[in-house]
Amino acid sequence: MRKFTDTEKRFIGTASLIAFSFIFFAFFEQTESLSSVTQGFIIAIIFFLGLPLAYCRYILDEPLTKLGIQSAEHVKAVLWSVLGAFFGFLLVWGLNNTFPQMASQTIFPVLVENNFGWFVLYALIAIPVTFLVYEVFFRGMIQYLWLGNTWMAFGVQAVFFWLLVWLGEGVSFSSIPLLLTPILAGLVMKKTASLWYAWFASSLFIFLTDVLFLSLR
Amino acid sequence: MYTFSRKQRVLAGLLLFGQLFFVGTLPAQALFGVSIPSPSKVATDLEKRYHLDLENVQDQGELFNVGQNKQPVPEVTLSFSPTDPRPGEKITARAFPVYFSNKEEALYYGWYLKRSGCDLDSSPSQAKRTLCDRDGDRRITVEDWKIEAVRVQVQNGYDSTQTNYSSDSDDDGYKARFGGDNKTNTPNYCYYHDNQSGINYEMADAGNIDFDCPNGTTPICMIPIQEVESGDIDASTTSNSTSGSSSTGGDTTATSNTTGSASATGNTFELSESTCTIAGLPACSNSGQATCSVGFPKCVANPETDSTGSCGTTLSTCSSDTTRSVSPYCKHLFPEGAGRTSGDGSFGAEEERFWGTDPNDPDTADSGSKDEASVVGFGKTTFTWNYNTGDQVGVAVEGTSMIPTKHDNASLMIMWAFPKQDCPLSVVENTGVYTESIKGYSVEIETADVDLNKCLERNLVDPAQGGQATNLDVAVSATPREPLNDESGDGSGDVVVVSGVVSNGNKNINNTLFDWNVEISNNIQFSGGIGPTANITKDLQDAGLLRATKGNALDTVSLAMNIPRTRSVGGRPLSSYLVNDIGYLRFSLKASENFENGVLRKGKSDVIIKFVSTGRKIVATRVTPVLVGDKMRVQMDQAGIICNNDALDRSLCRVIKNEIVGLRIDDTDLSNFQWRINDQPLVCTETNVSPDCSDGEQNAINFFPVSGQVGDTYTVTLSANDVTSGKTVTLSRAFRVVEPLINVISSDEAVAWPKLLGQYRDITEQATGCPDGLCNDFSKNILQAAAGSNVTLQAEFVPSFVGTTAEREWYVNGQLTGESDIDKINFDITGAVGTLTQVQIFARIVQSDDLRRALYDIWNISPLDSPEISFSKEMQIEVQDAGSVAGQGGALKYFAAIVSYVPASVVFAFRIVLSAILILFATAFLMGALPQEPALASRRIKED
Repeated sequence: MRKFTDTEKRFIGTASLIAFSFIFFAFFEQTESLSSVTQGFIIAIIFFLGLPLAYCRYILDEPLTKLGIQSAEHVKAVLWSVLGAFFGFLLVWGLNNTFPQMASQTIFPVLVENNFGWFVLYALIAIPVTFLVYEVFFRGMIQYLWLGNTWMAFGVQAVFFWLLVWLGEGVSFSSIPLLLTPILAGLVMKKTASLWYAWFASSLFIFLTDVLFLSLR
Repeated sequence: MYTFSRKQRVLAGLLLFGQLFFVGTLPAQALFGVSIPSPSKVATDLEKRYHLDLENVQDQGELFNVGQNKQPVPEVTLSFSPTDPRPGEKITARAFPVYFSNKEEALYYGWYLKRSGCDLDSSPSQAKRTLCDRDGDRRITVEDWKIEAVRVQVQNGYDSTQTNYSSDSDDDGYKARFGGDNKTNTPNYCYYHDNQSGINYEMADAGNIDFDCPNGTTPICMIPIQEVESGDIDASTTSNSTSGSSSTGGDTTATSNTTGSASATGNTFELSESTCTIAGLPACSNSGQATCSVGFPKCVANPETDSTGSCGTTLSTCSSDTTRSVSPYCKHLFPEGAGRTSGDGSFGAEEERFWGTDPNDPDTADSGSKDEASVVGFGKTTFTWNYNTGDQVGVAVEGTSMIPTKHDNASLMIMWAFPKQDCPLSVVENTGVYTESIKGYSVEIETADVDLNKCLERNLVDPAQGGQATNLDVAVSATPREPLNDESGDGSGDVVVVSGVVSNGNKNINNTLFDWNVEISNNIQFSGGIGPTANITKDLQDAGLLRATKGNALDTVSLAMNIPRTRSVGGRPLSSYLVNDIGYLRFSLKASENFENGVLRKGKSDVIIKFVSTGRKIVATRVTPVLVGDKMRVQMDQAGIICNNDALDRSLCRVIKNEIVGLRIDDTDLSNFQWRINDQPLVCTETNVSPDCSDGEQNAINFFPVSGQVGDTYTVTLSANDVTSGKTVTLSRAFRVVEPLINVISSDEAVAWPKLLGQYRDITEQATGCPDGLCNDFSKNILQAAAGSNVTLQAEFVPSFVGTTAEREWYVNGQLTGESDIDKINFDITGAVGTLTQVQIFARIVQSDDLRRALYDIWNISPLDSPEISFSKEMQIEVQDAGSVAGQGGALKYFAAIVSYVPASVVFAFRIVLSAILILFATAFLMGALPQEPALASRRIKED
């Protein structure tokens, strides 16, 4: 029987983990005794955040830097993050001019839409926490840990993310910004090899996009 | 010339003399042609000449004899305004004097006011003195009462607390005259009038007179009252001699003569003198003899109360101080203040201070009179004060009567009038008589030594006398006036609302006690002699038809007319109070207000209503469409009675839109039917509506379409004549348009039971099955059942009758499930413990085409307005652990209890974590299962 190297075994193991996660996600049935939002939050935290961290630390016995949770050259990283967010914002702005449904179909919580304080909380907590989860799983585990942060990895993680969005809430005009985040976050991850700056870039991008859409109401 | 001989002269003289003695008064005319009339002849001639009737002249003479005692004496009456004074309210007493020769405004009105608690008392308590002693003599006398009234009158609200009485600059004195202000230069003779005998006694001090009456008796003049009784007659006979003769020879004749006499003695009627009446007071002559101008002097024990009783003992002797001369006197009844005499023309500072007047204002009361004139009551025909409960008022009016005195001058009798004219002889201290030579004749004048102040207490008048002030005006009304009593027990009888109104209450309604009573009778007179009558208040309360009937502010009571015919009220069944189904109820109200001093103002009233008792009801049914000619009509579905399942339905029948409702009633003994719906005529004819109806006269059947919207109400009224009693019977039935709905219940609550939501406290204390007043509150939308159990659910439709025609589909967890029985489904609980089983039922009501056509043909209701009606119901069944539900003990029950209390989010997160761990484990297992390629050094060693 063929023998496998550590690297191959790690690759297969990580692939299995990702596959098992997606299978779980695909066949998971919500329970009616709990709010769907709560269920989604719990699943996200455990599967997209906790599972990669536990896999890296306890199964692979590797430091968390293998997930890209590390620092980078600060100036360069910030520059890439800001530029990535900015250009993503410009792209959304341009697309919105062509497809104004992007802004009109984006649904914000009423409190966020009408109260600046709630918007601040939303921008500082909800967005970063949500995208931290996404960054750890897709940029950290898929792009960096599994596929080695190559350009192919950049593409694969984007495809996986789009697949998740499609299986979840479906693709619509309002989901276009979300569909752009793996591109710019993956790019930042490729250039900086740091999950933090990819997280910063995606959070900033979504923040700017939300500001644009709210200002257009 | 012829001369008479001596013998002829003697004979003529004898004849003349004989005429005098034997012939009587022969008309002198017989001898001389002219006669001298006798006194009686003269009187008779006079009577004839002047057409005088002897009897009338006699009557007049008899009246003349007693006329002296029947002269009109001064009187005074009082009136009050208002007639029902309330404490603190101003009240005015007005005096109306009559039979005075003065004008009203010239009289002296001596008002006096007795407050509650200020009875006469010679040794009152300190508290009573503080309250009542106005003159500071440490006694409560009539003077205090006078002062009480006069101060009110003379001050008229003037506040004297800051007044300086060191000087008196106003000239407000007034000199009073006896007999009224207009009595000038006229001798004053004051008189006391005895109401009983009519004798007017001149008030005089005749000295001490002692009548020889035994102790405890009073000298009085009495007139015996003669009574005619049947007398006794004695008849007797006497025999004197007897003589007789006889002869023989031939014819025999015998004669016998007896002489005697018969006589009768006695009286046919006799006069008895067993009772006497007072005729006056005796006088004592100079000779020591007790005399009476009328009647006889007697010594009587209680002359005041025994005026027509026993005649007492004879009084014959008396003694008097003959050395003193009689001193007629007059004495005003004015109040005295500060030791000064009122009405003496001097009203100084001390008097001003005593009466509380303004020493610098001659007319403090602004009444047009000087202060002292106000004190003596000059012209004060009215007296106004703030009434308090228990106040009594009186007045002594002094003036000159119209009765002349016997004195040889222009004097008229000065008298006093009291409101009740109650001044009996008992107040007189002494009586007497003196003579005065008037016009050459000795005239006797009777005297009495009397203090008229003793009469004041007797003449107090209560302004509230007659109960005017204590009466409350109460009015009672009831609606409806002819209610319907429902005998069926459904509780659909009329509710009679009875209201009471107090129009002159002094307290507000919250302080007024209302006491209601309800009586029943078969006759409107409520006469027990005509039929049974009873107070049924308590019986109605026991039956729950009448609530509280006594309490403050209870101005309205309601009686639910739901008395079954056989129910006992007033000791008899209701039927015993009905005549041709008609009875009468009387609602009586007694209202009362309480004041201080225990005074109670009360009033009462009642109202009688007639009620009709019946067990008849308008029956509602479904209808069957029937084609008559080319038109669709409807017929009564006799088996399709609706709204008859419970009291709620029978009182308010729930119907759905586009339904046709049939109406019918038991028409036994009824005729002349008139149907109305919402006060509009509801006419059913055979031609246009139903073959069950008749053209022309209405009968006991009718129909109406439910064309209104949800929430609309139809009130159907039927009036008919009862041919037996002739009375009109009126029945009604209410219908309400509702949205149809379904309730899903468990057929077996031992298998599937409503979820207990909690408990509530029954504050009405009428709910059953609630220990300690706590009632369980069960969900109507959630059931609970054990996992794996077989559950049967049943649908209940509202209105119930739609269930027979409604199409329905059951879904259990989204799966169509067929009915196991009519309106029932049966299925197994397959979900895991803690899961929910969804049960849904969808129903649809579609009126048949024939019915929709009938709506159109009869009432022109478009088929487009009668579409289908869809409705549904969702239920959930919480799956419970069979072990815990079954009540098994042990660890399973323990863990089940723990799990049931853990939050669902924690349980979910725990499941997800386990899933994540499982995934990690699977990944690690896979990686471990893959064969490992050896490391490079070992490989090289191997290759080597």
